[in-house]
Amino acid sequence: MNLTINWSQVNWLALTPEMIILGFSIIVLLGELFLSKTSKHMLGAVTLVGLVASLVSLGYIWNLQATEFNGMFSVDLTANVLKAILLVTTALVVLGVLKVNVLMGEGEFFSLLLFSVLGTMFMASSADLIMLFIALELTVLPSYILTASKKTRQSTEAALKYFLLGMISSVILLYGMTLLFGLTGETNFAAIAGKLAGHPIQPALVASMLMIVVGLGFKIAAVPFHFWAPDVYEGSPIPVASYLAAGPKAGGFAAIIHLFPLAFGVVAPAWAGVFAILAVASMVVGNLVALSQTHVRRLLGYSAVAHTGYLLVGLAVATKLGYASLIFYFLVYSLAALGAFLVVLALAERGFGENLKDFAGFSRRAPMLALAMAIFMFSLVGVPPFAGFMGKLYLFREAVRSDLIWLAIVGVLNSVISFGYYVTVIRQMYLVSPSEGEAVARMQVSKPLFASIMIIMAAVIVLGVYPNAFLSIIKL
Amino acid sequence: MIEQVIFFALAAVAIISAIAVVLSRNLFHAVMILGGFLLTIAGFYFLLNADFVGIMQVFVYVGGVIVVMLFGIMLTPHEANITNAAKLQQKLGTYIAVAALIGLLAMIFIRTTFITSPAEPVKDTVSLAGKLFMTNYVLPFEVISVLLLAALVGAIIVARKEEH
Amino acid sequence: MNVPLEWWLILSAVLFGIGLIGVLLRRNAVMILLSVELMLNASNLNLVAFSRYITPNLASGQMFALFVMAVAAAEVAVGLAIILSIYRNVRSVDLDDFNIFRW
Repeated sequence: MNLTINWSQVNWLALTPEMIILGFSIIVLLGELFLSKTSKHMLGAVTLVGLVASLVSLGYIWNLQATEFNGMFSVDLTANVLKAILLVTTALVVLGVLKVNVLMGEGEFFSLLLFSVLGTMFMASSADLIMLFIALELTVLPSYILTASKKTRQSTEAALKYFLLGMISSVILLYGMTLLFGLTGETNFAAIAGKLAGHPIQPALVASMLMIVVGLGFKIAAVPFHFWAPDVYEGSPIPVASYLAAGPKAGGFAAIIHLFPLAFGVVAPAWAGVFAILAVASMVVGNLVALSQTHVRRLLGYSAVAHTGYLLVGLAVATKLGYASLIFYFLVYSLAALGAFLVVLALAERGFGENLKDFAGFSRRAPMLALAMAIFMFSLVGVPPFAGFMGKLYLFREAVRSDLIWLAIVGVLNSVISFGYYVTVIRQMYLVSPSEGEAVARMQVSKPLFASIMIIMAAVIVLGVYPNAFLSIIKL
Repeated sequence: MIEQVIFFALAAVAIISAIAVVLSRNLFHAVMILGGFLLTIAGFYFLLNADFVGIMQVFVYVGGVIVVMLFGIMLTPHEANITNAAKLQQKLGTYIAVAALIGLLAMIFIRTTFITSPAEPVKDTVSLAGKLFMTNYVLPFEVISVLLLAALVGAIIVARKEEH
Repeated sequence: MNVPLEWWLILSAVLFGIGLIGVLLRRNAVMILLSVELMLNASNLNLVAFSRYITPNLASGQMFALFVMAVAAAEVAVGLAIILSIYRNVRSVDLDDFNIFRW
């Protein structure tokens, strides 16, 4: 057994984005300790600098393909693209909350956010079961804490539910991993694939696959493992909910894309079928339950479940192009969902509630924000010319190509259903006037938050009109 | 032969204590029995020639986790006795479903051919684990240190009282 | 070894199942935490047993188990902090007393 590591042989370039995030999370944490109360508001800007620096270094190694640390950590285009999406959405969250009270120490909030980002990045790059398990825990543990940070009854209840369900799903995932290890004696994805190739399919392999689907299905909030999502999106502080809606799922999808074709390559039709079933269940349950919601964040929570369903179509297709269209749709979805959460944040900052009726007359209070919200809603439905349309087009086209026409039809029908609740939001903003006696004054929005929402709106439009701009970067 | 006897003795203790934890009506008792359960698991590890894991099981779990749990229980000063709200039908249904699951898993394990190796187990697991942590597993080792830092900071943030 | 691998696996499955019963039936948050610990230990037992029988001359399964222990310790600390925090708000750690635990 080789028990040495040659440090000079390690390609440190491959790890620079992670190292930058780690460095900045420590700096921000120390800043919370040593800075005076008045200068702590700088920490948000420092975090933003860290995220952008990490993104730049990621661009530098964009086409790098490397496996480091005895197969623990691997970099490829899929991982890089998902990391980039994660960093961009997180940077937009941080930009949006620069002037917003985050309900806890700034340093604590931003360092925990960066720890979670770091875990998600490692998850996207893990090529080993041990690394995947630890990275996953590093992703979710700070999320539990951030969810509980408001310390109201609702926030802590949501955190407890998130924590308990998260722990149960982690242990089921772990049990599945132990079986995979037992069948092969390996923990590395590629080595597992090598050991399993050419052998008859063992029953324990199928059990392991199902258990890992349960564990990772929880993290991406697929039905029937979605129970935490609406509660967490509703109960956690809005900046946290915005982050959770977009970023961390990148890790789950990256892990599935890396693990399943390799380790479970011999039972590929089985897991593709499981993902197809989960896709249909998530789409139907998410959309139908969302129809009856009145709390906007809860509505967005169920919409997130439905969108996990659309994304799972890419996994059910189980081809390279399927994964690529999944990644494109993930970007499109997380931008629109993040934008919607930031608009809710803008309203809440001015003391408005988060129910649908609180959106009445929004178009007169803040015309630009209402326009942005309407565009996000249209994009989530999949109305051209916005990004959501192109995303769904690519996904369902891949489904049709792989003879999953029924899945594409279910997806399109669900998009039609989803129109029902997204359009309610738009109707409230433009057609319903606020209750009598309430003056409709222009709403003040903090500049960074407004800028963040406008950037997202521009991105949603550009990605809808020129999707090739992005597709050429991810080399579809 | 002697190994089989030890295995069955430990297995009996482990299963009985696990059932006692799950059915216990007193939180304090449950945690103490869990401590005993964790010690028997450490015994299994020694039987499996995994000395270092066994020692760590005693240190981390029995010494750390159990103590933290006792602190947690004492800081939430509610009545230690807890009632089990589940209805009889629900209980029966769960027992049957879980028994079926265990049976299914046992079937799967018996039907699966695991490729065992007759090689001699590693003797000095402590130094091997130390070397592995610093070589092949250095990256997860570092990541877990970040995880522990995040947990440390996070537990303080969540558990401290709001200053008004 | 005179003990066949299957015995270890069945033992771990039984312990996993007992933990699962606790998770499904208990309504006290701390009790659920304890039950999950049972399941985690069952998984670790699997890992160490596989390590002994499948790759006796390597220690990858044992290393995995050690990492899982560290993760479990971190999770327990955070979980108990959350339970402590919720106790301050609701004066209870019983899931039936919470509003949003409509599973």
